[in-house]
Amino acid sequence: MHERLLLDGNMAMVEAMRLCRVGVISAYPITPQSPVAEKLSEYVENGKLNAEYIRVESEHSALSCAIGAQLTGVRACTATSSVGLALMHEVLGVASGCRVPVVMGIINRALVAPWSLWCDHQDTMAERDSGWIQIYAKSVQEVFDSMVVAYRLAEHKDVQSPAMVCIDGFFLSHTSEVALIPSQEEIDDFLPPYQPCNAHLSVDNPMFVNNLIPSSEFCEMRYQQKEGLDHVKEVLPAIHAEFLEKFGREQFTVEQYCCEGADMVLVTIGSMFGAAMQAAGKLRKQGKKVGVLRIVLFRPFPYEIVGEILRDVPVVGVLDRSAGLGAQGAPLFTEVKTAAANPSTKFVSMVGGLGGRDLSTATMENAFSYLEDVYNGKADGKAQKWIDLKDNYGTLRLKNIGGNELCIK
Amino acid sequence: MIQIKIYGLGGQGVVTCGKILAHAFAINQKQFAQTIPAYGHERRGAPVNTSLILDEEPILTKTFVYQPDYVMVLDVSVVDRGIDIFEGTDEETVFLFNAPALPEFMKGRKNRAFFTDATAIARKNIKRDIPNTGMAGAFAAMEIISIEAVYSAIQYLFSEKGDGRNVKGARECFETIREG
Repeated sequence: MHERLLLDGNMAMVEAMRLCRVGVISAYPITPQSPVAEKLSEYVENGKLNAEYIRVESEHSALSCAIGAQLTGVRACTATSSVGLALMHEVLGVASGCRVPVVMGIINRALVAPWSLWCDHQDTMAERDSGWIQIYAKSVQEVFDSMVVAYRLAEHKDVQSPAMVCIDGFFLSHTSEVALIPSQEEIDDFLPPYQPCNAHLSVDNPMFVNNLIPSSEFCEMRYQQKEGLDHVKEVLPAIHAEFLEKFGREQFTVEQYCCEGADMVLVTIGSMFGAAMQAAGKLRKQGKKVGVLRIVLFRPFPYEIVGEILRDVPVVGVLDRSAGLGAQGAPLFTEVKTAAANPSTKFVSMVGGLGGRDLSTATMENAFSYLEDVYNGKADGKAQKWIDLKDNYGTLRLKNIGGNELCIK
Repeated sequence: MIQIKIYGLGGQGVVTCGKILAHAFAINQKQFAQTIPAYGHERRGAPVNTSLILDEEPILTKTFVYQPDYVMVLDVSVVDRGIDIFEGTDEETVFLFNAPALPEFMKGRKNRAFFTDATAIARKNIKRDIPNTGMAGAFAAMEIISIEAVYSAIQYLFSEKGDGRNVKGARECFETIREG
């Protein structure tokens, strides 16, 4: 029987880790992840969680410890944000390459510079090709559910790849709302004890892990990782079905709102989905055929599903919460455009919500308004559209140095 | 859907005030609530605010409140610090102030406005000038959340039993809140 609690996203993540019986925690605090590290340590101290808590000196060590611990046959966990994840970059590849299915909570926060404590997706988007599964949550309930699903998916014998559950800093991590938290028995019934089924550390069966590999084998080992991620599309629907049956809540690979027969669809990711849906609902009442698609599983990217949904949509806007500097479109845009390669579709790359800027319903209405201009031929939509940019962007913080007027320009 | 914006200063428990009311409404009254704090570079004494939404149905949006039905002000000095507590409000917006009298700037406005001296009441009951539990009690006078639900939320969140000091403060604010 579940408990109905008021929780924020960080606490929902902690409850999932506790109920999934993590045995080793190694974490280094960073805003907005700190409450996760603090609550887990409190649970270990007061005996609510039977686990070893390793205090580490950096995120690099946090993930290194988690990998080492999990290789001994225990569920290990950590969580981080922003520059903490960037510092883990090297070690992310160790986890995925050694096929250690660690599940890590990521509280999305902008990367430097300028410094920001607040939400955007550049931290996780920068790690999109690290061989990790990436799931983006929309609500506090989904933070909990995604964590539970992620353990099953990552540890599946055909997948054996680590997973990040990505939650928007503050907009989910510090937002309190109602969440249903299952009992320990219910979770135990869904998630069996951890069993390593690939590389592991055992005195009875010693083996090399992460040793130097010549070119005669490296390529094949990388291909094994690709196959592991390829299996997600077969494995995940069954896990989602079992989750629905046991807990009564539908889980998504992608989530649609009014996409069928739509003239314009806005593709979203993370907590922005609700505001986009609300804006679309308002426009639908005015007779405008708009829809919203949410990408939940970003890695491995569900190309077939997205391609099928968007096949006949004339205008597709993709709203990234990261800039994708120097690319034709930001990361989510690039994937969506590749997935739905209909030559008659107009794709618009949109960027918004950087560094904690709120993607309000009004901002979403502006995004749809621009898509409508593209649909009606008033705008070509070819240039990247920054939907919540202020007009004074060109003069903000620019100084006249050494007689060079606006030297950055 | 009822949208509430709570303003105050870092250290006054603005974020917790939102959590008390959200807990009271969502858990004790078995409906739905969401509170999103707008954190700045956290420090004591700086203006902060939190957005609170109460609804009969699950709340989908994860964005701040822009058009509040109620504005709660835990420290009137936020107005002198450049915070526009009237942003997004209209004549229907109801104001609740932690103040011994209705602030001067409300004169001539058509809005309904209430006040209670939650700081003085907190000093008396909890021996600290933290007005959040008192103002949560005062909000019960708006008859959206029952005072009993507020008491239960305070008892749960503060691990307080029975008629504790925060519950007493909440009751006193609930009983003394006046329309100005």
